[in-house]
Amino acid sequence: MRTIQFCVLLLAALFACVVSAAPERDSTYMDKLLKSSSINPGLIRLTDKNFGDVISAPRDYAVVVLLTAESPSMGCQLCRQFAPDYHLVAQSWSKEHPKSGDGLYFAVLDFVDGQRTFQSLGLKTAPNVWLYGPTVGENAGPAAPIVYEIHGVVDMPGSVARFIESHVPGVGITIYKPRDYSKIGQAVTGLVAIGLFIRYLYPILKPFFESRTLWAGISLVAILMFTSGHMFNNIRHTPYVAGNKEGGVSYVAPGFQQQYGFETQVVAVLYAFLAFGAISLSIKTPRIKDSTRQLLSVLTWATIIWCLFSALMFVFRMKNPGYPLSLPPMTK
Amino acid sequence: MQLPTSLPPAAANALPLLRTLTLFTIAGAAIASRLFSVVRFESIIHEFDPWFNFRATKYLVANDFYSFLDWFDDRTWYPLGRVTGGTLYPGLMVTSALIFHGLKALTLPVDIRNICVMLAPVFSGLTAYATYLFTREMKDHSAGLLAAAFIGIAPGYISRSVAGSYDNEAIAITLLMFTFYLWIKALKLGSAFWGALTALFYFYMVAAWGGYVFITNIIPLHALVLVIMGRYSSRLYVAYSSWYALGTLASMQIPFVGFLPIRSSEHMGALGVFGLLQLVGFAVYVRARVPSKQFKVLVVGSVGALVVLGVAGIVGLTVSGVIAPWTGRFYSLWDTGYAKIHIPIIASVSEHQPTAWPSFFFDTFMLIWLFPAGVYVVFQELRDEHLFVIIYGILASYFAGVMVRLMLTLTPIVCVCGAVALSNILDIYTNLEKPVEEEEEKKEEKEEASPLKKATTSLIEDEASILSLGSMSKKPLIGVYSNWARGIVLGMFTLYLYMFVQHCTWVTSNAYSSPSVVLASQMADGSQHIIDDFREAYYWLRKNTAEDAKVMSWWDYGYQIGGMADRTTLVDNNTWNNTHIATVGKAMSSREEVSYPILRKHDVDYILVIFGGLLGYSGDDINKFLWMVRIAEGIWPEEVKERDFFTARGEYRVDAEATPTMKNSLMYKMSYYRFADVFGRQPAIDRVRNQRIPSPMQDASAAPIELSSVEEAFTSENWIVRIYKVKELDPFGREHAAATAFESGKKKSGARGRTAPVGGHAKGRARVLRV
Repeated sequence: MRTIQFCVLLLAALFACVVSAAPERDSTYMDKLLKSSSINPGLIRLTDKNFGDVISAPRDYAVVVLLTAESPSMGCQLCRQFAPDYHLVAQSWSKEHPKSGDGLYFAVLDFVDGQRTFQSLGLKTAPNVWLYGPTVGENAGPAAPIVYEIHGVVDMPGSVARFIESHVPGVGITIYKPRDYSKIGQAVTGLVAIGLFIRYLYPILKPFFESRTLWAGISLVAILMFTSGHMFNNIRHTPYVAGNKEGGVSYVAPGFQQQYGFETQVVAVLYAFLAFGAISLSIKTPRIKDSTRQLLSVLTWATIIWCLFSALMFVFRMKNPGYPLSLPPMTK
Repeated sequence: MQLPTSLPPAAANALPLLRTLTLFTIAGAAIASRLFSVVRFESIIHEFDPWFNFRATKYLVANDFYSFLDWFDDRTWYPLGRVTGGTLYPGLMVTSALIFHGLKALTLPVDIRNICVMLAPVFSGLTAYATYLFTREMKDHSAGLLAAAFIGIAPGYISRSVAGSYDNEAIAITLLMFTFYLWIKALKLGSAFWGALTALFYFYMVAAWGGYVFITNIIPLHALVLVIMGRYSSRLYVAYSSWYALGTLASMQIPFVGFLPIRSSEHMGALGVFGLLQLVGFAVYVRARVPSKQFKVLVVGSVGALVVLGVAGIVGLTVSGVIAPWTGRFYSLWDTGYAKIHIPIIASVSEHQPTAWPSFFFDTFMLIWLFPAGVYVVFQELRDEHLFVIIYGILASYFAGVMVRLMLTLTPIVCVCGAVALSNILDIYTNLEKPVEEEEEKKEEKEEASPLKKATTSLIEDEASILSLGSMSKKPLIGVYSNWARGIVLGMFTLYLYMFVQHCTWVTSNAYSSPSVVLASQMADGSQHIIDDFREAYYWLRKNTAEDAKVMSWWDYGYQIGGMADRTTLVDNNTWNNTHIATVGKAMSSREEVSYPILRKHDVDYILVIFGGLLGYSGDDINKFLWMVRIAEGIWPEEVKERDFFTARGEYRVDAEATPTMKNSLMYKMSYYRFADVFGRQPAIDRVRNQRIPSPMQDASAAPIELSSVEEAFTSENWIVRIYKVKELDPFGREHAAATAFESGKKKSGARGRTAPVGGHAKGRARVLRV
C-alpha cells in the first residue's frame, strides 16, 4: 500500500515537473481572464486570489498591473486622475488586438480587492504601475517587475505607452482617443440653440446688438483685462495674494516678471479710471453748457488723473525699485 | 462736430512745411535714441539671431541672389546641414544687400556690418512716417504727428530695433504699418491700385517676417466684420479682392512660404473671406436685377448650397491631410497649455512666456491707459477704418498678453490710439475760441442764492451718468470756457509728455541697449567695466582650432559660434530639429561614459559651455540645464529623468547636496571643473545660485571633479565661456576613466620626467587661465 502511494506521489511529481517545464501560465490563461473578468475593454480586474497566478514566474507574456486605490473612501486623488489615462492605453491596445492580448495584458488590482497583496508587496502608496515582462521566449527578461514613474509626467497616456514600448520588445501602441460624443452633442445643441435664438429672440434683442455703447464697453473691458496681465494669471495660475515671511499677506509680488491676481485687478481699475478721465476730458466736459460746472468737472477729472497716475507709478516702483520717475503725492 | 479753428490763415499756409520738419525731427529722434549701444560699446551685432542674419547677409553680398536662395549650409546642424536658402525669410538680407550695392554704386563704400547695425534705427524712422500716415487716416494730421512721435521712442518698439539688433522685426514693423496704411487707403478709395500697393508691401512683409500671418488674418477679419455689420460696399470688394489675389500669389514666391497660403489653416480665413465676398458681391449684383421675392428663393438656395459645399470641402481637405494642421507656435497662441506639453522647445524660449502687467507699463508708459480712451474715441465716429483700429487693438492686446515678444505688434496700435485720444484732448483745450454762454444770464438770475452748491449737485449727477457717455456725445460740442481749465489740462498733459520722453530714454538706456555679446558692469568707483568673454572665447576658437572643427554647445550659442568663431555647430537657434537638440541635451545631462559615444558619433571636437558662477552671470548653462534635461527626456524618457536632478526635497541644488545624477552629468562637471581651486582655502561660492561648491581643500571628503573623456582647452577671463576638447580614443583601447586613473596614479608614484601619453593631439598650449 505504501509503495503504491509512493509511486503515485512520484508519478504526480514527475507529471508536475513535465508540466512546469512548459510555461505554467501562458497567454491562453490570460486570454481566458481577459474574457471572464475584464471591467473596461482590454483591462483585467485582478483580486488577491489570481494576482499570484498572473505574475507567477515562468510566463510567456507581459502584463502591466496598476496597483491602485480608487474607492472614494481611500481619498486617493491621483488614483482617480490616473485611471482614465491607463484605461485609454488598455483600450487602445485591445482595439488593435480585439480577440486576445497577443502577449501584452493590462490588469488592475484595486486595494479593495487586494489588501493582502498590497501588504505582501509592502506597498504604502498608490497608484503604482508595474510591468512584468515575459520570462520565457525570445524576449525573456527578469521575473521582477519594472516600475513606472508616475510623478511629474505630462501627457500620461503617451508616456505610459512609450514606457511599455521601451520595455517590451516588438510592441507598438497607438493611442486611440475615443470620440467624445457628448462634445458633438453639445456642439449640435449649441448650434440649434443659436439658430432658435436668432429666429425668435433676435428681433427683441436687436437694439442691444446694435448698441455702440455695449460693444465699446465689451472692447474696453477686453483691452483692460489683457493689458493688465490677465492672460499671465490664466496661464501661470498665479495666486490671488500670497503670505509673506512675517506671517502677513503680501498683495504685490516682488519682481518684474511676477504678479499676483490682486495687483492685476488694482492695475486694471487704475487703467480704467485713468482712461475714463481722459474720455471725460475729451468728450464730456467740453459739452457741458454751464461754465462753472464745466470748470468743476475739469478740475475733478484732472485731479483724479493726477492722483491715480501717481498711484500707478507708485505700484510700478514696488515692482521695479530702481525706477526713477514719480509724481506727487505718492513719491515714496 | 469740429470746433471753429483759431488758427490765422497765414500760419495755416506754413503747416505743411512745419509738418515735414516735425516728421524729420521725429525720425531723427527715433534714430538717435537707438544709438545708446553704439555709443557705449561699439558698432556690433547683438544677441543671437542677428548673428545668423548677419552671416547670411555676408553670404548674400559675397554671392549672387540665386546662389543665396540655393544655399545649403553644411556648417550648421552637423551632420545634417540646413537648406538655409529655403528655410529663411530673405527680406532683411536682401534689403541690406540692396542698400550696400546702392551705396557702392554711389561710390560710398560702407562696411556691410555697419549697414546691418544701422538698419533697424533707420527703418524705425520710416515706421514713424508710416504711423503718421496711418493715424492721419484715422483722425487728422495732428494725431498723426503725435502717433509718429510716440512710435519713434516707445520702448516696446525700441526693444527690437536698437542699433545692432539686426533681426527680422527691425524692418517688419515698418512694413506692417505701411501695409495697414495702404489697406485703409485702398478701402477708403475702393481702388485696385492701392489694393495692389497693399499686396506689394504685404509681399515684402511675407519676405521679411513670419509674423505676416498677423496681417493675413486681421485684414480678412476686418472685412468680415464690415460684411456682418452690413457695411459691404464695392469699395471693400475691390480693395480686398485685389489685395488677396495679388498678395497671395506674390507671397507664394518666397521659397519658405511656398504653397502654405493655400494649404495651412492659418491662411484659410483669408481664403474664406475672399469666397464670402464673391458670394455677397454676386448676391448684391443679382438683387439689383431680380424681383425681391424670387431673389429670396435664389439666395437661400444657392448661397446655402455653396456654404455647405465650402464647409464640407474644407473639412474634407483637413481630414484627408491636404491642408496642414496648425503650426506649433501659432497654435500655442490659442491653446495656451499646448506648448508646455507638446513642444518644450517653444516653451523654453523666454520671449514666448506670457506677459506680466509691468511689461505693458514699462513698454508704453502712459499710452497704456490712453489706449482704451483712444479706442472709445474712435467708437464715437466708427467709420470703416475705425473698426480696423478696434479689431487690431483687441487682438494685439490678447496676443501681447500671451507672448512677451508680441508686445512688438501691440505697440504701434497703442501709439495710434493714445495719439488719437491725446490729440482729441489737445484739440479741444488748445482752441482759444471762447464759446458764448447762452443761458448764462437766465441762470444767474435764478441761482444767485447758491450757484456753487447747485453746480456741485448737478456735477455729481453728471459723474453718475459716466457710464452713459454714449448719450453725452450726442449733445453739441461747446468748447472750453475757462482759461484755468485750459491751463490745467494742457499743463498736466505737457508734463506727462515730458515724463514720457524721460521714461523712454531711461528704459532704452537701461534695459534695451545691451548687446548681450558684450556685458558691462560697474566698478566700485562707478566706472564702467566691459566684460568681453564671449568674443574672447569665440576668437580663440577661430584662431586655435581646425577650420572644420565641430563645436557642440547648447542651441542658444549656435548662431554666435557660426557668426563669430566660424566653426561648425551641432545645433543652433533655428530650432527645426527637436531630436538633434535633444541629442545635445542628452550628451550634456548624462554621465561621461554615456556622453562620450554620442560625442564620438557626432564628430564633436570641442564642447562650449557658458558658466556664470564666478562672476554672477545668471544666463548661464546651469540655469538653462533643466530645459536640456526636459527636452532630452521628451525623446529618451527612460535614460534622462528630470526628477533625478532634483534633491529629495525637490530642490535644484549644485552644492554638496546635489543629486548624484547632477554631480555626474557632463554639464555639471564641465561647469565646475577646477572651480574650487580658484578660491583656495576660501569657500567656493557659486555667485549665481549662492551655493557652496564642495571644495577638496576645505573639506577632505569632497573629491575634486575629474574629467576623463574631455579636457579643458580654454577658459575665458571671467570664466563665462569654458571650452573643452573631446579626447581621441585611447591608443591602448582603455576606457578613458581607466586611462586617467592610471596616469594620475603614475604621477603620484614619482615618474615626473616622462610626459604622459596623450591621444595624438597637442595639449596645454590652449590653456589660458587668468584667475
